[in-house]
Amino acid sequence: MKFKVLHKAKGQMQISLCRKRIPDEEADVLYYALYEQPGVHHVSILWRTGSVLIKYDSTRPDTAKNILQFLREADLSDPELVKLVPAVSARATNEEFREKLGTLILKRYAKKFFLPMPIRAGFIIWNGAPFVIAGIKDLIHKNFSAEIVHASAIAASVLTGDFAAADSIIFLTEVGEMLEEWTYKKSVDDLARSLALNVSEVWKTENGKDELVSLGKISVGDHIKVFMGNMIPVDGIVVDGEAMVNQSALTGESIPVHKETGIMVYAGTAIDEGELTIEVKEISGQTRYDNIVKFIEESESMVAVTQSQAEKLVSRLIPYTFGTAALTFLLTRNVTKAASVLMVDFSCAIEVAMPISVLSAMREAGGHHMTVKGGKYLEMMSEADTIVFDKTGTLTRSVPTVEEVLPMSGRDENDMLALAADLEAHFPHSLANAVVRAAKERGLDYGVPHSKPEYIVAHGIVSYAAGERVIIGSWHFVFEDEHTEVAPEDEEKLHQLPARYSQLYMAIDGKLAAIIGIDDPIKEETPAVIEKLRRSGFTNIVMMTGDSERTAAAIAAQAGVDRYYSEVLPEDKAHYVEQEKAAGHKVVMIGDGINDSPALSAADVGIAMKEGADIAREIADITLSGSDLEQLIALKELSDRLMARMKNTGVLGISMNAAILVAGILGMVAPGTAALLHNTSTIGLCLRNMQNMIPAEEYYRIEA
Amino acid sequence: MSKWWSFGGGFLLGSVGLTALTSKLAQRGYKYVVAGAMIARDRVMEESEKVQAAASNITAEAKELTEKYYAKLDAESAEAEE
Repeated sequence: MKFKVLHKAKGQMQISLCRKRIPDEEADVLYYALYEQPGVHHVSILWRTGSVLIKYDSTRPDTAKNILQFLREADLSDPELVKLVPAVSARATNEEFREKLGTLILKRYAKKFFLPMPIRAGFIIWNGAPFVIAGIKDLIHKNFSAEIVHASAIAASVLTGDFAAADSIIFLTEVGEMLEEWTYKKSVDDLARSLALNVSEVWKTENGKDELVSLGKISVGDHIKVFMGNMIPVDGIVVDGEAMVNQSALTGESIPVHKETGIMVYAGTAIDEGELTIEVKEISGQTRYDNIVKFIEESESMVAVTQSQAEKLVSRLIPYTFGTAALTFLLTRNVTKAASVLMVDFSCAIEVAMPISVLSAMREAGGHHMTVKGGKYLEMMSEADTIVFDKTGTLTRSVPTVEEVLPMSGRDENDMLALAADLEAHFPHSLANAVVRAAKERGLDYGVPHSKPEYIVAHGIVSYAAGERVIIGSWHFVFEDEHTEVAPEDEEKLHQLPARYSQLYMAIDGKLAAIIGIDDPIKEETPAVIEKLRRSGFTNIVMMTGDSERTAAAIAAQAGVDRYYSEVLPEDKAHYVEQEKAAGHKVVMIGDGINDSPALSAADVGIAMKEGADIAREIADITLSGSDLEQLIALKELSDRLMARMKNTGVLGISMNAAILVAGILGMVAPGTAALLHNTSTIGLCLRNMQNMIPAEEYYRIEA
Repeated sequence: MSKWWSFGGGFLLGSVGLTALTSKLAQRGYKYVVAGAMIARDRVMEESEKVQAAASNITAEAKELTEKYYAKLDAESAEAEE
């Protein structure tokens, strides 16, 4: 790509693309492609002048070089790059609002300087009329809203002949509303983008053969297969199979719905249990995107409880504003002073600036690669004192490895592993994956004929091979439930493997055949993170796992949790969460597997790790990208700061407006000035609330 | 006397003026006017982009300068200690 470096400073460069204007599509591709490059913090495409501003991490020496190299080689029509642009581009939305705002400001000043007063007055009345009408409507319906205050302020200015004040009120109110709309749209779009399809490959089935193809290559009428725990990426009709599907991403209900042949399924829902073959009816990213946006907007979780409480409080103050204005008039017989009381609207700051801070916090979390589905969850995160961790994949690295296969007498190690792998291949559980991987490494992935394994949640699997009943699972399942026998010579083998290995017991025809020892090491950052969480206010840190007591104890000791429970069933996890909630605690739950879904739904905040089953991520309220637990610390910090900021907004909003009010009553400021002060302070508060709460440098310190 | 002029003016505006302002001919002219206004707005926004770029460059360089300054201060105080 042709370009020239216009300016280079430490951590920032300005590139000119040697052209006057950059069209939207190319700007979008460049924007998203640049963000993919390592070390890039911020990209501004100045499309009107054909240049690009790139801010990057200068602490690493290669960053600038890599960026320049990328620019040299990039071709903006390359489909690989075009793929990076999501259905609705954030950059495009920002530019749209920037243009709207710019036009508004320019129109205003053009009218102010060029139009003669009478015509300008006409425009002012024309523009102000909608506000006044809205206010009157609310008054008729006895709905005491901020609109009434705005309407009366504008009407009062116009009636007293103070058109300048009316003009500035209208202008500043419009700017405030536009900023709010911008932040809102940005946050909802960001959220929808992260909730939208991240599935890139699906199983296409044709003439009985399954093949993994990229989503882009699927067309309407193709048949695809979706397995348990995975997300359904398209709209379609079930042609084979049967499943329980969780549709909470679309409808909000967390109870799974039964789907079978002939029934429609929708993109974005996830399979809880079972397997489906689907005939594709609709692949469009846009419809799914629109659905998500609608769902987010209708969801109540967008609004934090504190926020709605504050809004209710403030709307009760509105009648008093009128009372004060009337009182001022009676006491001072001065219309101007009374009018200036109406200019000051307490609810404005709170109604506009608070939602902005919540939405901005959600957007900021998104910038740290965490998806927060609503302001309510950040609030809960800040108030919570109990946190429940799943063990496998959350506290431990999600890549457990088979360390040892201990065959019982008369059995061959490799045979046992091969059999186990073929059975486990059907399940997305991380322990199952470990077994399959181990077999692959040893070259043992030949298909042992077997019947379709039946999965008993958190216990194990049952299948038939060569006429014999094969079961694989936990101690509890294999010995206590199924009463497997152990040959006397094998007794000592039961205690041979180290305590910290998770053990899968395999039994054939009721007799123990092998023990598979899987090492599930703790993540390096876990003890540090647990300690930091404790210091930031979590008093009860709990680990719950379906794994055996021995492994659980070992990991719990290493991690430093307050309490741990082993051999837990999914319902027990949910039960514990509800118990703690009933006792008055606010509970956070973190998990990644299918068996965490009930607990994730029950908790006040359900957090899913990115590598978890799709279904966990669908149900969860917050999703962490990557497997890094340290994001939790940043999340908690963000939540705490958001609460502080909301409180601060309330305090500042009320005190600033009170000061302006008093000044107006005492006659120190004219109504026009009072309106100006009120509106600019509100907009200032909004702009401040749009800033990130954790600046980039500090973020790295929190995680360290 | 001026009362008649105002009356006449108003009459003319209402009858001829209004028709003239809304006539097809006038409408053909308006699109040029509005286009001109839009182009003017775009030019202003272009200039603001240039200002944005310049401001960004200036802050980046200023940051660099301050870092060099503090580095120099640190070096000097380290020397002084020796």
